[in-house]
Amino acid sequence: MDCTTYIEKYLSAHVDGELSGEELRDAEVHLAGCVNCRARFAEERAVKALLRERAAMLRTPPMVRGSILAALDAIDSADAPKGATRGRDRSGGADRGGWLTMRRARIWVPAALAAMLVFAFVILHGGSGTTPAQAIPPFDVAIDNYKQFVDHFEPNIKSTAPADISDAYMEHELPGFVWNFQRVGYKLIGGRVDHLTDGTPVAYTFYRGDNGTILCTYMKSHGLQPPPGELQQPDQPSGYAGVHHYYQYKGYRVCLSYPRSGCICILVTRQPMQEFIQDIVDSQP
Amino acid sequence: MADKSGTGADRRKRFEDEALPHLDALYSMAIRLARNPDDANDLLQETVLRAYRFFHQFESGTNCRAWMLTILFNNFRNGYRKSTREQPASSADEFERKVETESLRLDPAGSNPEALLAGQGMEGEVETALASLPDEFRQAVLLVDVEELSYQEVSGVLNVAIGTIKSRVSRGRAMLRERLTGFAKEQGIIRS
Repeated sequence: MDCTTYIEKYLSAHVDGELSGEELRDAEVHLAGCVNCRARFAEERAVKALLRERAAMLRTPPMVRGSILAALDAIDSADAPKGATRGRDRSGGADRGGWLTMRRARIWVPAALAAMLVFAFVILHGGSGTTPAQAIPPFDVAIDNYKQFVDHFEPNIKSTAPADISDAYMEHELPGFVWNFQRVGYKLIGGRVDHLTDGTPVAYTFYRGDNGTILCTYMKSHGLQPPPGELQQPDQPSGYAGVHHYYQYKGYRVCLSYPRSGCICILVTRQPMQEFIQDIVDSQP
Repeated sequence: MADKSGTGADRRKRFEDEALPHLDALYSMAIRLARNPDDANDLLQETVLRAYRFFHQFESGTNCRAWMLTILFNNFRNGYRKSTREQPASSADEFERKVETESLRLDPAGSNPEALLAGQGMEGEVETALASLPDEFRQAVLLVDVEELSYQEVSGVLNVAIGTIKSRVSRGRAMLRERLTGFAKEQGIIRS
């Protein structure tokens, strides 16, 4: 390993204790033989310590703290007569769920069939990591829905405010993150929560731009591992929650990630650009 | 979907024990993200209330600070930076002025002087250097060095691949090093 490689690729992670196995061994071998990089290591550690010690940790102003505690009290007393939060959650959920299930049964048969396949798939292949690349049912579900949404997307979350969409997703124990594709020219059209045939929730967020559309699908993963056939993405060690896996699948660009434990995120777009989704991911603040 | 939060009083107590100790950390991050105290207060309040409502989803034994920071960043990005009141500070200096004004307004007796970001000497330098970084580098460095999260936790908070976090921390710290080297040497933190 040369000094440039060490400094650019290893130094920070080394100081942060984020190297392991072979990487850590390589880094230590290099440091042992290089006085300059040892000095750099010490400096990097000093910068880190400096930030920790000197970057101001602000105290929450008493007024702000007070109004937060008062708002918590308000939630407690609103919940109390109905027996904590359960009553409220259940009535809201049943309402939405019933309406959705009915609509789904009539309009979305292909998606429902595909959804059954998802579970057959994850039961058979989940966790094995040796899935054949030709059939990836969760991708099929996402693409199936994408095709229908391109013609007609009907949000069932009343608000189009990202915060409200996020709330609705979190109520179904799905990720509360709503992608912001404005910077690459895609407008948020709305959000939709449905239920798969086994009752688990799935969320769709749809975006439209001048050049095309993007669909973000959240669903429970049931141990689904990234299927083989991944496009080469440099610099992304595998096995972590935040890794994005890119595929070219049935003519679509697909990006698979794990935004929170037990859930997968599948982004689908038709844009042919090689690095399209990567650009979007990189444009996130 | 078991209600792990138990009764209302139970949930409140658990929340106060596990989540509220991170309030200052959240506030510090909120004010750096929003760069404007009014928006930061809204962001903080929205984050805490949402965390409370969804507290049954928090997995005991995992990092509560990381969990709440994830909600904070979700709220921040989901807000699409609407910044209804005023534009974010356009420069590090302006940011410091705003924070100073706000701190003085909220704490007229000056009983909490350490809360002033625009302190004298090194604190001011560190804050200025941080504020001058592009957002993506600043956020990664703050989460790793100030909030003390692991790369994997930061990857979850920002919903960005871990390889990207790694390179943002590396580049962010390199920029900081460049900007702080002179002061670090003066203070004997880095040997010349």
